[in-house]
Amino acid sequence: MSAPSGQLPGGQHARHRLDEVVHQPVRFSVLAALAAADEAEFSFVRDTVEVSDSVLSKQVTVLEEAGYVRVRKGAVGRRPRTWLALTADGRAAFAQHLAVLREIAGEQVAGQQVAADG
Amino acid sequence: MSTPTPAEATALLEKAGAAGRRVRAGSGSRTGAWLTGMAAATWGYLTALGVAGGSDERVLLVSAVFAATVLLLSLGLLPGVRVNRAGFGRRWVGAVVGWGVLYAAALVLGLVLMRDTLAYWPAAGLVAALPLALGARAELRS
Repeated sequence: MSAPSGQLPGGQHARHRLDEVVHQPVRFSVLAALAAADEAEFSFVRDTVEVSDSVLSKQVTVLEEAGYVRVRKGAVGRRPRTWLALTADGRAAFAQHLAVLREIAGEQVAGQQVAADG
Repeated sequence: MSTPTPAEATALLEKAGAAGRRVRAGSGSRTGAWLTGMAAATWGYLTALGVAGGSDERVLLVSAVFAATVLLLSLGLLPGVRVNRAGFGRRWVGAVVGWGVLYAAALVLGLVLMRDTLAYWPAAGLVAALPLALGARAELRS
């Protein structure tokens, strides 16, 4: 018999595999934006995620310390620029997190299917 | 850490998809314009070399105009790039390296063997511009 949606065969729920670093809302949005990019400027990510510089800076530091985001400082003319990119670990962690979310979301689909069948 | 309900998980997945769409919408226009401009400049340059014929002064003048065009395109478009879509590096290297190889081959072959063959130059320009045009199409496609 197969395990219910969202559960591992051993009975452990998919939520146990959610990554706490990724799950925080701002960090999740940052990783979602960076997952679609090779590299993005700090201000682009800030505008996309719709947070202040300080909030983004704080969350990027957490992601950098976790090894999920690489920060590159540069300059265009005299203007300093900061570029953000996912590391290979960050890309893998975010993909894994999305896979778990899909499993959990599948519970809803399965529940609706059961209700429809009933 | 709060565990998302199935509805919340669905909403998070939609949020991730929307962020990806915003990144794709915000990327590619400047790099695509640069690649398009370079493709046009390459074709124009090689065609003008054919028209310039055997005169070294004309070749130098046309080359100077091409160099200025490349400089203007690069300074005007590339510094304003804020995001590069996933896979950009691979596509960019492919387009620029492909252009470099074909451009050098077209230039050497043309200047050594086909200098006075007018019809060679526009055709060589099209071939050399092709990797840039393909790269531009990939970048401008949302």
